[in-house]
Amino acid sequence: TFKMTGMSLLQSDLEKTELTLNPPEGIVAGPIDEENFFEWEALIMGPEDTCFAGGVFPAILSFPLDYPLSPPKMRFTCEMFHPNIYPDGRVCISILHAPGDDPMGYESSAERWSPVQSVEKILLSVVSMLAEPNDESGANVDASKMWREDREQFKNKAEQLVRKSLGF
Amino acid sequence: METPGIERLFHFHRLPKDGFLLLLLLLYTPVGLCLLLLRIFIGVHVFLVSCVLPDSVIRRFIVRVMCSVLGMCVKQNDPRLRDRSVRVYICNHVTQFDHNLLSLLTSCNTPVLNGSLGFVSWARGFMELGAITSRAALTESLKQYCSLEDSLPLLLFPEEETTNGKIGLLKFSTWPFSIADSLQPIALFVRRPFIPMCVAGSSWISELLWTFFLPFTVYQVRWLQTVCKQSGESGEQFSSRVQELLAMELNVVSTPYTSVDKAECIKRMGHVQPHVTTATGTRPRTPASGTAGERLISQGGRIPRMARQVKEVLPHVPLVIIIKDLEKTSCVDTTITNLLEGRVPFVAEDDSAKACAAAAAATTWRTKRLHSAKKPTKRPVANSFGKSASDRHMSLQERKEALYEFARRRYLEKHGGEIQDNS
Repeated sequence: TFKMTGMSLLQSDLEKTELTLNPPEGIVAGPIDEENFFEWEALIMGPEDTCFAGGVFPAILSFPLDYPLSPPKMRFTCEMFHPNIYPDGRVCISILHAPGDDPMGYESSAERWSPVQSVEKILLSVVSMLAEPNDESGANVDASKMWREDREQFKNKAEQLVRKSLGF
Repeated sequence: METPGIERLFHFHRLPKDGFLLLLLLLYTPVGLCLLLLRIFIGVHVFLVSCVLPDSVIRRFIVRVMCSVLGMCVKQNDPRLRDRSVRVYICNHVTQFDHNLLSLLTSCNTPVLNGSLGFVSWARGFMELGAITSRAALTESLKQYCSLEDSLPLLLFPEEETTNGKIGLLKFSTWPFSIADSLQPIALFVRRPFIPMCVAGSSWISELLWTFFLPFTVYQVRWLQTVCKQSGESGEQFSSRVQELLAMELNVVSTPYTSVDKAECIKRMGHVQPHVTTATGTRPRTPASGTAGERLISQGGRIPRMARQVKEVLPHVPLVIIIKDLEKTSCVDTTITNLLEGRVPFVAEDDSAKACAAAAAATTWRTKRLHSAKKPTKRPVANSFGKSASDRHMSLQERKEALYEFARRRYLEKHGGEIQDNS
């Protein structure tokens, strides 16, 4: 029955995402396979006037069977260089962590996962993460360091990734 | 060469259209049914024998002979052409039993790609690597597997899905090409009388039964020259090089279609001909019936009953939206008010219903969205929510493409000059 609740929630989440997150927000998301609502694909466009502006970054969202009790996991499938994204693409933001687990120990005040959150909220959080990296996070130490100390080089690096993501 | 239509890559009809062939098949049917029965019993024995015997030349020989009794014969062009040093074999995918037949020629393992782990995948001769969630994880564990000293070579099907092997190859996935730097391509031809090899969308059980029914199926294996990854060549380039090689050998075209396109094509054909496979006694691939909400509402209970009441008042509102709001409010009246006042966003289900006054909420919501969009004409917006699952899925593909196109155009508008300068 957990699976059913998760399913129906994800189905309505899908409708909501499709309705509210069309290209004006630069997000496209949906299940990779209609038979399996627990694995989603998402494209996220870097928000205007930020380092990642204009790039389109593919990611995979995997929902646990007890969704929405546990948060989904999100992983970028393209190359990323960002303080809050692990080198293997996993996204590290507070909304993807349940209140109990705090791998970084710095997110106590930030918004955590709870069953009232939705896919839409996660995706919007990821967009704002792209816009404003949290440099306290150590998901990618090199990226954090560069973001703090050499913003110009970080911008160049991001610009390269944007181009790469668009195939230019 | 011109890319053929994707439908031509697969068979959708089990029975031949040619009247003469059909007549022959009918005449053959009594014989075929006897063979089928007999072979089911022999098949159990073959399975047991192949479980009991350890993997060796003797076992391969015995099982190969027994398989030819079952109607599955394997031939190879020249066993000496098989490269013993290579760790990965790459083969085109024609039937669901390719890996079983090929492993009768040489010991090799094929990992489970989709589908459940457990007894069935083990019995079908797949190698299990634990619960693998993504292709990247799969690649990693396969790399590890290959680095073991005495592991058997891998047999991989980069198409990931079967084709009829006559018109074209599906686009190769790149993951099999990142596992090892040298690999041997295998061209597989499968022939059988009367009926096509593998009808798109049918299950492996029904394919197996059809194989038993027919007098024989010949798997002709041709070992090609080992291919090495050149330095500086990306996985993508390597995979397309091997794909071209195989396509040439098989005398087919390499197409840009992927296994996802195949699934969509099957769904699309399912809309046109809902009875594609009913004749074979397999599960017919009918389009997904009803929306999620309709499925929910047929389950009974308090919320569905209330949802039905709301739906009577507001027929244009999708059931899923109603149910979700009812789960919050548990009150028919509050939900109706919420929907009417536009507190809950939705798109009207039926165009004709939009005219009615109750749809005002949806309309205002849409206008709001148009205002919030800066350049509405330039934005690729999906116009309506796909009613069936496959419509929706196609629109995901389309929306993805649209977003890419939009982003590329936008980027060129902004940086066009710089890119030309750089290149």
